[in-house]
Amino acid sequence: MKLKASQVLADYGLYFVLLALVAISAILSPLFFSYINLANLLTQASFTGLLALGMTFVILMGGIDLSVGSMVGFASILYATVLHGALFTFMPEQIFIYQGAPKLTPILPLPLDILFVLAVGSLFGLLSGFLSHRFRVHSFIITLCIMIFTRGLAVSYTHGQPLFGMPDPVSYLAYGLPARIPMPTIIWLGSSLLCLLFLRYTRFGRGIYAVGGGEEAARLSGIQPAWYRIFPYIASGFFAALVGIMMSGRMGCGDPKIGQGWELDAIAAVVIGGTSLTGGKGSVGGTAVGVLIMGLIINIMNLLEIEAYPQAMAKGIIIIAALALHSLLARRRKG
Amino acid sequence: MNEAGVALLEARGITKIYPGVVALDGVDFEVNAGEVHCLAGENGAGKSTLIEILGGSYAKDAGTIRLAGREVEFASPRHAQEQGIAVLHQELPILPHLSVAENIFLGRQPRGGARAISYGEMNRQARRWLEMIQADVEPRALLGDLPISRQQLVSIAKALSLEARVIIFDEPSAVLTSSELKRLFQIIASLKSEGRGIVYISHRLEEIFEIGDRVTVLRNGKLVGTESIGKIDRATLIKMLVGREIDESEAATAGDTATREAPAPVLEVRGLSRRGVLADINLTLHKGEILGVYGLVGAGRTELARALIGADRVDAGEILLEGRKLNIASPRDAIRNGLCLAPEDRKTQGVFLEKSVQDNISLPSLKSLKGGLFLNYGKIARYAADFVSKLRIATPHLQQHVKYLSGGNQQKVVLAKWLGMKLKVFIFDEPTRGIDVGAKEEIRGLIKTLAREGKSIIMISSEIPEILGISDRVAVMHEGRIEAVLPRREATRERLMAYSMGAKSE
Repeated sequence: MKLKASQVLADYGLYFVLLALVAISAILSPLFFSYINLANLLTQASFTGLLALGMTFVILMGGIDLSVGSMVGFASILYATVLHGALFTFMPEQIFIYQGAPKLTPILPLPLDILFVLAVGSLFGLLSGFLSHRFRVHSFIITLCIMIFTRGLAVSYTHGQPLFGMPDPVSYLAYGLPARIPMPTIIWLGSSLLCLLFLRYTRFGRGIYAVGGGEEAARLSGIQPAWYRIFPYIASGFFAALVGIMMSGRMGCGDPKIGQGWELDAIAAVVIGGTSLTGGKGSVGGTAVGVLIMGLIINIMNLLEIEAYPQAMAKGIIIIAALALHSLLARRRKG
Repeated sequence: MNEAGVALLEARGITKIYPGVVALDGVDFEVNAGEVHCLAGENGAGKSTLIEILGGSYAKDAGTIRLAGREVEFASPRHAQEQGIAVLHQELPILPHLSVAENIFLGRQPRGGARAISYGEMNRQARRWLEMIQADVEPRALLGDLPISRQQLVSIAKALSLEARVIIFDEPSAVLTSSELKRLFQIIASLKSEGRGIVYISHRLEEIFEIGDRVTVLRNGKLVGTESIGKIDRATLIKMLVGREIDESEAATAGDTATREAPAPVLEVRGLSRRGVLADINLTLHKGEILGVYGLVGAGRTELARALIGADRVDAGEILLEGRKLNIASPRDAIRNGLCLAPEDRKTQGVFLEKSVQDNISLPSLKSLKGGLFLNYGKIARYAADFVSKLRIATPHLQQHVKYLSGGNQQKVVLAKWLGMKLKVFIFDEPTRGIDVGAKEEIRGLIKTLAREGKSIIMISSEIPEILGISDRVAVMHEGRIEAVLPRREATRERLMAYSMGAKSE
């Protein structure tokens, strides 16, 4: 097997794109390499990154999870509610706390609160995965319903109002800077590393690739597809809930409206990262690069003080350009 | 080797009932250690259902399965594999994005420290199994990048690695060239000598007589009989297969009588090239002529067909239809100009499996089946019904989904699709592959009728008797080139083989 230039380009093209974007950004703005900018860039990327990480599992299985954005909002509200010990009172009016109110001490120990919200997020994922598997309905439509439902639940529960009064340790998840590295980035990269090892070095992980790449082939190889088909949605729900908790800390409140449209950023990052929408092909590393590419595009436009709406236009165009480049390089490899 | 007369695998009274259909009706089947037991029967005879049950994919409704005398129930393919039964499916279920080694060890990858998969160990073990059958395959290569014959070798290596005592081959010859098949037969012979039991499914009589020890014939889900190969002749076997007598020599001689002197060329191909695939193809096709194209798999036959109808881009060359230069950039252009292709991969490219017989037949002709602005469904139904009766397509009704038809009838649907259009050149890529003996004859008959009606035909086939039986001239391809074009009377089995393997000189 000879190493051909075109093949190297096809296999590592994404990394070249990332490097090129870094170089362009550095040339366009002297502020790019400042600590503040980089920390900000990485923090922003981390939230999309965690959602994209869960989404990678789902897309590897040939599915899609539209519910993650809503799940962020729902988890954020749920978390605030649990902290207030008011989950079962169904009277959020009583726990509205004005901005600047003294911070609450959670009634349950904090780790239990976090675990509870993560579990609920995972359960919603389990529900999506189970429904999609059991009734053989594409997850697009199932998770669309879950997306509408959870958003509705979050907004109606709090009448659209945020819930204030986050305790300090939660803010640390969002603002902490151990060794000058943003905490969200540590969580994102740590989770990515774990998922990467999981997908590459466990039989279950390889089974996800197998079932996503060809369910019948996997079945005939002796793999029972059910759990492989359901698990990715659990992972996706889990990471969405994690992002919800972190966002609560970041904003100092539970916000039922946070996360709208984030599922699309996550999907775009995964696809830019080279994971095939038809399943069975892709990687966590690619997704991380895809997230950084998206983050860089936004960041450089912010530095250049481009306004939000032209930014959105540019984002759309650049994502298509990235995908086209990817497809061209991949075709050269085949030819 | 053989445990005192106890069969390695013994199935008794296997019955499988689908709503409205008895797929298998009390079928007995057994394999001894060190035996190649062929399983034959027309499509729909129940062969696939039987092996899916033996392989643990389907549950049986009645009957018993014994492995070395002990009764077993297979709950899943995995369970059957663990008991030592491996099925090599015809359309090999592969995971193209995973490596060769991973396809072999899927779900049971060797693990090292911390229960992490050890890729080094996995590749080493894969290499060992591949070497055992002398397969020159790199374990780290992606399986999807390999040709189908190599993929088959990987499946065999996988069966060996599973320590399979019974290996079931589901029509391997449908996807292998004759030289690859020879290799496979050698491998099967050595598996047999190791005391494994082999089940070999095939439509081709030659193969059954070449490697079989016994043959079991199924028809309409029922057992016709099991015979020792040494004790029967071809005629008996054919009679068992189809339940009536077919004169085999008919296929081989019919073309002889019709060596038509062809007038003006209809299709001319000049210098057609596609880098790495086709090199300087020159061809002439006359009115009412059948041009056979023979070659080993990978010789560029399918690629030639695809290039002619514009499915793939070409780098150089021109195509002339009745002296007029054609500009074909897509299959749509080809159809407009009067060329069509019945593709090799019938199920994914020839028909829409999930659509009805009527929809499939009428699709290309919808333009002419309109009443005013809208589609006229009465007209469409009459149009489709007309072809169903003309081609004798066996379907309960026009709305039947094509996936429920047998292979032969699916192929007739492909034909019907094109017959209704005013086309001049028909390209058939392996039109009789994987369909039963009786239907093969019918398809060949239809092709001959087309030629008699003045259509020009390019017929690609890997079966030499078929090529010799039907063609007016035979083009032989080798490594993307046309090595020779022989008139029917000069074409012999030996010459076709020689040219297809690249022997240029006489």
